[in-house]
This record gives sequence, structure tokens and C-alpha cells, in this order.
Amino acid sequence: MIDMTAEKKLPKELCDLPLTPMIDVVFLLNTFFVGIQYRALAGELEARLPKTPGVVSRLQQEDELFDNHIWVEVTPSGPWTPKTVTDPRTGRVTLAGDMQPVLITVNGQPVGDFDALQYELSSKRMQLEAEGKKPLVILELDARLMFQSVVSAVNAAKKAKFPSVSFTPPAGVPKP
Amino acid sequence: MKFYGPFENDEEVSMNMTPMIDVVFLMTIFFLASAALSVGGQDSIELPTASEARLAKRLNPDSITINIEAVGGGAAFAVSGRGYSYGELLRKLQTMAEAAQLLKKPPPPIILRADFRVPYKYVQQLMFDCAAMGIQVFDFQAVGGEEISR
Repeated sequence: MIDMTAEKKLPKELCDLPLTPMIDVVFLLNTFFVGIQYRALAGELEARLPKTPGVVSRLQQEDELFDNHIWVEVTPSGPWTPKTVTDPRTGRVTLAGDMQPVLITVNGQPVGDFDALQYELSSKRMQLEAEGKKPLVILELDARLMFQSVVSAVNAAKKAKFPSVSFTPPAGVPKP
Repeated sequence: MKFYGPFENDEEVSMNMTPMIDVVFLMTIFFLASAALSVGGQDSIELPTASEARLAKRLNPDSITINIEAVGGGAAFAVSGRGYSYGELLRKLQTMAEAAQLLKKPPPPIILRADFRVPYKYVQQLMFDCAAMGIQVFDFQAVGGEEISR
């Protein structure tokens, strides 16, 4: 007699492939790696603006109305074409070679580069704090600068332990 | 000859719901996370580098991320994957600032995702037009901070 139940008699553990934990783990790994990849793009630098455009201006600094202000001016010092390099693994494009050449001054005194700017801001902050004043960095940035130079200036202020910075208005905005 | 049907024994047939719910929830989390993280990630913006850039401690649901792409010597603006002319963008921001004012909430903070090659004049103009609307807090997105470039 032919045994019609032969198929049913196979050991159960040979037939069942546990798919559920496998899918669980695959999705967890996917979520983890997607999260890790984008985590590398989420850094932020905070900047604050004066309440009314034009309220903070060079005129006020010259009149010494605010002696706690540290005035930073950054202008491009010559023509520049950014050279970039692409990471073959991530496809990310970054600056290669020199940054945009800039001229930086702090309260009218020239400083060499963004590292020197950080050092200068740090010493000015300590000096003003020793006098019991709350220092404020005001960035007067030339409209021809690349955004990287703007971020570098903000970065230098952050490194010098200024929690936030202010910006002067664009040329043409009426000043008080 | 005796045939055995599939359900002739005494075992109760039931569907195991727990692993199914497990997988459904995991899939939901995966798709939600990947959708949220991919916003703004499909453009050609290359962020500037800054060693002090830090991860936001918590995401502000009211914040607006403005993407600024370098196009030739100019800039192209986009919010949530949709391109805007500068005038349209300002109108949108004005509407959002007014809505926040009506709800007695602070104006929405702006997260600027600008390409490192964008001329500052475009960012500067946007920042000061925003300041005129009462939007004063900006976060510049950047890469290269110690905490984020492991």
C-alpha cells in the first residue's frame, strides 16, 4: 500500500525556516546603517541676527556706544576658483587645496587667518570678561565671500567660546 | 485506503500574530526613518566644513530647512524638495512667521543647508529679509565636527 501521508511525516524542523527574526534583524540593520550615514551630515552652527536690520552698524562701534563689541571684518583678498575633490567612496565633494584668500581684521587690526582670528577673539573675550562686560562678536562679511569663509568665521567665534554671533546688514540697507 | 486531510487532527489552527506585528512595526519605523532622513539629501549641495559643528540636541518641529544650491555664480532655493524663486520663498516665510505670531509662538528657526560655493550675498540677503520678519535664529549646517565625523 502506498503511504499517502509520507510528506507529512518529515521532521517539522526541516520544513520551517524561521523568517520572522531574519526580517526583524535585516530591518534593524537597515535602519541602523541608514541612521549612521545621515548622522554624519547633521552638524549645526548657530547664528543670531540683530532684532532690526541695520541696528548694529559700524557707526555705533565708532561712537563707542557698545564697548563690548568685537568687530570682525572679512573680505576676499583676491580672485579665487575653488578646487574640489570627490571622495570615490561616499561621492562627497570637498574643498581641496587653499581656501578662498581673505583679509581678516579684528577691531581694525589685521590677523593672519581663521586660526589667528580664533586666538584673537579668545583673548579679547577674556579681557572683556575680566572687565565685567559681556562680549559680543559682530561679523561684517563681504558679499563676495563664499559661504565656506562665512562658516569658517562663525566657526572661529565658536572655538573662541562665543555661543552666538551677529551679522551686519548687506550694503544698501539703511543704517541708523 | 485512508486519506488524511490537512486539518483532521485535534490541533487548533491559529495565526501567530506577534511576529507579524513585530515585522509590521519594524517596517513602519524603517520607512518613516528613511523618509525623514532623506529630505533634502537628494540634491547636489556640498556642505561647508566646520570643526565646531554639533548635532542638534533635539529637532525643533517648527524649524524650516532652506536648501541653497550653488548654480553657476548664483543660488537656487528649495524647501522640502520643492524649488522656490527668492520672492516665493520670502512669501512662504512671511506666511509662516505670521502664523506663528497668530498662535503666539516664537518665529520658526531657520536651518540653512547652503553649498560651500554659494556667494554670501544670497545668504546675507535672505538672513536680513528674515530678520525683518522677526526670524532671527539661524543654524548653518556643516560637516566635520569631532562628534559627527567619526
